[in-house]
Amino acid sequence: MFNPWIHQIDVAYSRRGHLRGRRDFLRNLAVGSLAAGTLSFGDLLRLEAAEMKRNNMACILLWMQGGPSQFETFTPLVGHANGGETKAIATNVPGIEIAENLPEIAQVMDRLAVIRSMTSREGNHQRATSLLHTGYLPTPTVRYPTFGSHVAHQLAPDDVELPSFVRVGNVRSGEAGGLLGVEYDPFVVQNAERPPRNSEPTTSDDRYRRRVVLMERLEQGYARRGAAREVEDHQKLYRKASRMILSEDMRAFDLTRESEAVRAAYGEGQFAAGCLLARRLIESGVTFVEVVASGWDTHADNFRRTRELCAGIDRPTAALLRDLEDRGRLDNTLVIWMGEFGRTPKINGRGGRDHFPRAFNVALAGAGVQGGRIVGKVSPNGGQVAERPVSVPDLFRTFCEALTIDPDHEDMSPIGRPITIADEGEAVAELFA
Amino acid sequence: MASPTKIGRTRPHRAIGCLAALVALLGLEIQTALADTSPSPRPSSANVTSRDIAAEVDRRLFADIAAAREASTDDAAIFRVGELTDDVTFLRRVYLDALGRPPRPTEIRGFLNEPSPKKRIELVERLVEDPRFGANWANYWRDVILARRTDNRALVLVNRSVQKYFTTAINENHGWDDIARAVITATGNVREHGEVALILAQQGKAAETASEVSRVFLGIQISCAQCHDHPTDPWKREQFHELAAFFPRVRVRPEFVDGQRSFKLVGRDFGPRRPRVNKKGRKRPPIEHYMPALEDPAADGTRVGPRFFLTGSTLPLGTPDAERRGQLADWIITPSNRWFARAYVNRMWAELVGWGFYEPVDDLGPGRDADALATLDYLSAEFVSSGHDMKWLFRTIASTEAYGRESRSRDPAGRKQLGFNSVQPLRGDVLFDALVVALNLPDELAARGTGLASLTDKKDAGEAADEMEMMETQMNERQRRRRRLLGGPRGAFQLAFGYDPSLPREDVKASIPQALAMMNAPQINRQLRAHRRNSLLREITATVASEGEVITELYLRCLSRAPTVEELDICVDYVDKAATPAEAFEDLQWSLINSTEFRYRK
Repeated sequence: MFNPWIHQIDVAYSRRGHLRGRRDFLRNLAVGSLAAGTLSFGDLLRLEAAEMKRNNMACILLWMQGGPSQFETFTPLVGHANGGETKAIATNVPGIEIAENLPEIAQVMDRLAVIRSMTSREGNHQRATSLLHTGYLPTPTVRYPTFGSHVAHQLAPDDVELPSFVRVGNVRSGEAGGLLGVEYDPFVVQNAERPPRNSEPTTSDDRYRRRVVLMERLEQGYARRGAAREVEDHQKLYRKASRMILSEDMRAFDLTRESEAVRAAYGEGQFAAGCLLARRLIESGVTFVEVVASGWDTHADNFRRTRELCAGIDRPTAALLRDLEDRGRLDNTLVIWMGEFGRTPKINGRGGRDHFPRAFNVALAGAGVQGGRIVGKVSPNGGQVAERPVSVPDLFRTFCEALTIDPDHEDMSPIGRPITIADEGEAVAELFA
Repeated sequence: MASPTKIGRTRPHRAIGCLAALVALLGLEIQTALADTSPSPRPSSANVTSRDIAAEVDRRLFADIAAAREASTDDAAIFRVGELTDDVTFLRRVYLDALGRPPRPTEIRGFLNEPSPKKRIELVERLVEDPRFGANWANYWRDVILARRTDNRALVLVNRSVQKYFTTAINENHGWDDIARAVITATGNVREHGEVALILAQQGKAAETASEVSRVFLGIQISCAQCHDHPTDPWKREQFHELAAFFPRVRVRPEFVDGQRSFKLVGRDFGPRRPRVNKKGRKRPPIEHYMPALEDPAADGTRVGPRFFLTGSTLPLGTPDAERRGQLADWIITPSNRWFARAYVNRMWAELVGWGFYEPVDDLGPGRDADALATLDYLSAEFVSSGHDMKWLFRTIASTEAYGRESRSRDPAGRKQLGFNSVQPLRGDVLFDALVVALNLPDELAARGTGLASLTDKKDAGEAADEMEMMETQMNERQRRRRRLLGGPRGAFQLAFGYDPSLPREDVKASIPQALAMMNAPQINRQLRAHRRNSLLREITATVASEGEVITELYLRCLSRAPTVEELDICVDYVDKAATPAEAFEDLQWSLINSTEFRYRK
């Protein structure tokens, strides 16, 4: 359908450079069009929905499976025995220090905000993983959608041939589309270096197309004999799947198309490949990408192991932020770094740290989040949130704020219970000001 | 559209011409193919009650539909009553519903050639005595329970034991009341006692267990009252927590059996009366239930005693675990509690006839609207009289005309067509078995990873990965062990294709990864090759020669029926245009297993 406004919108968009948030957009649009009496309220709502899906908002979740130690990442504890052997280093933002394990990230601290006062009560891996993915504790009565599914549901444009939500790696209990339906399940890529499973026809493309056409012809009779709707849904799905695997955009999954220089900038390893893949997918229209780094459950030998784990994520994370910024995508891409909880201040007998949800940290960048910010503070021994506690619902409302999603949007559970995207709480406003 | 309704009497099939051609192909006589269209036969001496009750159910349902039509301003088409479906459709339907697999060609030919006018009912009576009946419904109940797990370890821990428990209980014809009692009062090692699955899936947590017991056995979602009074039903917050107060003494304890880490479910009658904090700062679970204070969830809350919300019956604080749970089970299964039988009958009817009196099947109210409630209550009362006999109920429902009618698509708006059966998506396990038949895979593969295998074949866990492997081909030892515990290739397939059977079926959708697996999985495509040893095409072409026969055999194996004349034309045309017949047949088989019809039962 021809939309006369698109041109103006695009002009407005590019002139502002980083116009973010549909509120700004609507304000601009409303002033012009409503004043001229050319748009009805209904038009406005439709435009709002269309614009939300067109403004290329995206999100990358860097998921640290196992519960990364806050003290060995973004909350070094200087001057207390609980800090252990980990030292703090300066960053490119004066006055902000992070753990020495993240020297590359320290150099992009000006793009990054850290919440040091995250707090929850769930210390079980599975339940906490579910909590930090859905914003709710798991219950048998409601299947809460994982946040990526909500984002895909709210923001993904209809005309993109790739899946709107891709998960790179395995997250046990990372949850899926839940009550939104399998349509919003993550498309899982086990290995970023290889094409997604079953995404290539086992025959020539021509023969594959012939097979699909034969199938569709043969089932016309079945449709007429009482299964019209099932056949229609089935063919829609198969067409979508076919369009996807035959699409040029599938090249986004092929990392060998990147230059040596770019590959080198991201570094080596599965997580590095995942970050690069995330950037490629976002550029190809994917709305939400989750990249998993596992192994953070350091009950023993915490300091050596977190050093190694940090080495695996430090350069790729920094490279991702720089790359997104260079390509003009950081303004409308929210990058989240987090795990399911933090680790105990007290170092146990095996040189490890145990589960600790009471005070941990999360890092955010992009989509209007002001870099070089620290939110909240822990007590000198690391055992308590000392200032500005941020709950899990607060955090999810913050995500929604950055992505211009209404956190109070309600979806219905199968028994008719309305479920909001985020539970009751408040966005961390100081991250945006 | 609003044609007058006729119930039960059927006209000969419209497409007789079409059928005649097919029947000739099948080498059958035309009368036998059409023989089923006479109305249900009179009851014979055997199973009089079951058949009489089926007829009574049909009468009452017809009256309910007529009354609903009178009272409604809706388009009368929604109240139309369909005709009985043809034999071939009925056969596939009842095999899938009873045994969870499609019929094989010999079974199809045998049934179509069977002249007895009572053959449908006789078939149903035979199938419920097949050991696979229990195995099939065991998979169903495993899915009902584990789809709502809040603890993912349950999937690995009880997958096999829960199949084994339900398979045995159903095949040995334990009553549904006995099964409910066993599940509510379960204790013991989780790998040995499958009846612990429901509680283990909730980590033994009192509130979650209570909400699942109520949902599964009563069809009442009282859990909405966990945090606030129920918005539409009369339940108060206290009532939910009083139900949870039957379970505060349940504990999941680690245990080592044969050097393998496992868990057992125990009742613990000693411990702190209120929540206490241990040295690590963790709260020790008390032996009574505490309702958290809404304004301060971290505080201890208020102690509540066990009280059953439907009757108001109570137990004193301090009652031991075994007595608590045993008493609750008795109050739930007692015949005077209508919800118990209603929830089961409603669920089974929805599975078999395709629409539920109440939908969703686990949300009966009390503030919900039902269709044809009088029919449900009649059948529920008879189910109680049968001694909660699960096989009896299956036989009875499958003997109704309501079950035997033609199917229609579900209405996207959720309006039910009470005069028709409904098209149903196959459950993961059933789709797996349909592939086993369509791809000519060995029967052992179908048995492996079911309750039948765990009863008979203790060694199946150690067997190598094979053709149907849907998961990673390169797995480490830990992944491989996990996969074995999940039930081998079947379990992996079920994880990818299964769905929560309590969901309204219009919400059950296929996903892109599922479509990609069916289209492109190398494991499936290898088995399609005409020249591969043991492939279906190789087997067929070794015995039949003409392309019409090959096409018909492919249809029989994949869709349990012969092609229509129109389909045959399309296929022949396709073969003519292809580079080689082998290639065309491969493409045809691919198209059939990827078709809508393959994934649904009509």
